[in-house]
Amino acid sequence: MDLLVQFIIDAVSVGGLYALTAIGIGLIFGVVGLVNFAYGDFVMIGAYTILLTIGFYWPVTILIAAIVLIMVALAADFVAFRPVRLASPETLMIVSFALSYTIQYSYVMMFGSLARTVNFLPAMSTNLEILGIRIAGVSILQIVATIVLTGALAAFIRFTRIGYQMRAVSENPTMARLVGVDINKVIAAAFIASALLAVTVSVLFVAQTGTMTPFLGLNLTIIGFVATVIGGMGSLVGCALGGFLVGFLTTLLQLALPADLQPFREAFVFGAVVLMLLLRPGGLIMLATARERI
Amino acid sequence: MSLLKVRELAVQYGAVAALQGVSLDVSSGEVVALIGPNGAGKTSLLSAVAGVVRPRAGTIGFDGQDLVGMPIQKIVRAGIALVPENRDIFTKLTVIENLLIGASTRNDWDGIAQDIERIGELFPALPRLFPRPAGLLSGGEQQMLAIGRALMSRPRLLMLDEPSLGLAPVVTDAVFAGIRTLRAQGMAILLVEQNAVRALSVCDRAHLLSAGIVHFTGTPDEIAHAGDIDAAYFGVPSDVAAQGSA
Ligand SMILES: Nc1ncnc2c1ncn2[C@@H]1O[C@H](COP(=O)(O)OP(=O)(O)OP(=O)(O)O)[C@@H](O)[C@H]1O
Ligand SMILES: [Mg+2]
Repeated sequence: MDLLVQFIIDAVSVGGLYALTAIGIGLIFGVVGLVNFAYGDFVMIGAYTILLTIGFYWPVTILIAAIVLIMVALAADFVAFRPVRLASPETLMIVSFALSYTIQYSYVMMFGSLARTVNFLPAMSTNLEILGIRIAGVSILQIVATIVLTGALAAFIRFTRIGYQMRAVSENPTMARLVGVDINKVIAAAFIASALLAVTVSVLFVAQTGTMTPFLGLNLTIIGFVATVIGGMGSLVGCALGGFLVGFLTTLLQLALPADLQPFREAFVFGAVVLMLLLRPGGLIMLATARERI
Repeated sequence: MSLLKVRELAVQYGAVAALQGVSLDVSSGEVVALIGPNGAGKTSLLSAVAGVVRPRAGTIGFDGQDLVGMPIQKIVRAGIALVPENRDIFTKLTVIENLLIGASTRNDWDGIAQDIERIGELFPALPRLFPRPAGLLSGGEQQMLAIGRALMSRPRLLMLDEPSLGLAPVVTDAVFAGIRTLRAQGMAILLVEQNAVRALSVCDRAHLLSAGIVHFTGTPDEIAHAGDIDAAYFGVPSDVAAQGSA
């Protein structure tokens, strides 16, 4: 029983991290039609910003990381993506690969490729006893952050002016411009939202693992991307569910796989994903309204 | 004083010459129809004015400004609104959100609220649909919504691309009733139609366009009585055209 509860908490907290990553990727895909492979590198930049500002009171550290990531995301849009706004999805994807490598290797130049460790929010790695079950503070933080951010983003998209403009741009960019929507402003808003999701992932990641390399983004991007595909590249809800599913699979395999197979855990996760996509090529969430992207 | 002044406009898609030197004017308060068969270049003309396609040659003047090369959003701000051929309402947005998004260039919320009310009066079928996803509307309701959305930018020139397309006659009546009301209120309209009867019944002047060239310009009366119009060429039987002007 305890084991089951423990498993669920682990799965939900890992899943939450993946869900936030997937939503960040899915949001940009929805609004801009861009699969941003540099997204995980934004998370990495957030992690190193925390490393550099660890001396401050922790909310200040988080605030600085958020500001840095918002500026990075806006700069990425302005410098890399805006010039190719009307290009094909393949071109956009290649641009995002180029951006990803540029970011990764500039961090290798600045910080070297060896892992750096940092003790961020140490209080979070202590365990809490709730109803006789030991839960890591980070897990609770992850679950709460996922719920709060997903809810806030959903409300933002549902109820604000920029929100319905985002949905309109997602559905028909040309028509959105024809009714006077400032597309660049809407896309900038989407990049800011994705930066806020990324900084949350940075904080949770650093608090949980306490370690980083310039390459930490790669794995996250792939997991986030896989989660959005599982979700059907559909709604943000689909992305979130996809993230939770990958988190659940990862946690399950961590428990179930014999120790000598553990290093190949990801292979099993992605194998399961491939299998699932063979069975349901449209993704898990087959929206009746198949064109909806956010 | 003409509000819209198109001169020698040429639009080219690869090897296809869609417009080959078209000139037309729309004055304030005037309804001008553009009639012609499939592929005549009607949509191309509206797209060029709206800034969606860049003309190969020619000029587009609006209230003294040159629109060629101007970004779409600035053209909307200048006072031009397009209701496209396939309506292109935002199906995932609610009806009221579709109207609100039409006011994206504005921030005068009182005026926006008043305009929503006005559009409800223009198309009485709309207000009870406000909370509904626009994708669930019928074709006629979508057309009314698309016109309403265009009006939300407070345009000085409204461009309608085949508002009767695919609609039952009764529904077309309702749409055209709205167009007549707008005309009575002094809205300048550039109306593209294949349904010549309908178009001639609401316009002050009409241009007959075919294969990218304007072949005839005149009032509905003049068009009805011009014997030399090749009926088959324009898809407008001359007796039908005569009815239209009656
Ligand atoms: N994007 C495009 N690429 C290539 N050719 C195009 C494009 N759009 C229109 N054309 C061609 O340009 C010509 C004029 O098209 P346009 O859509 O302006 O005609 P139309 O008068 O609006 O026709 P319809 O009554 O069928 O709507 C046609 O021959 C059409 O095939
Ligand atoms: Mg057309």
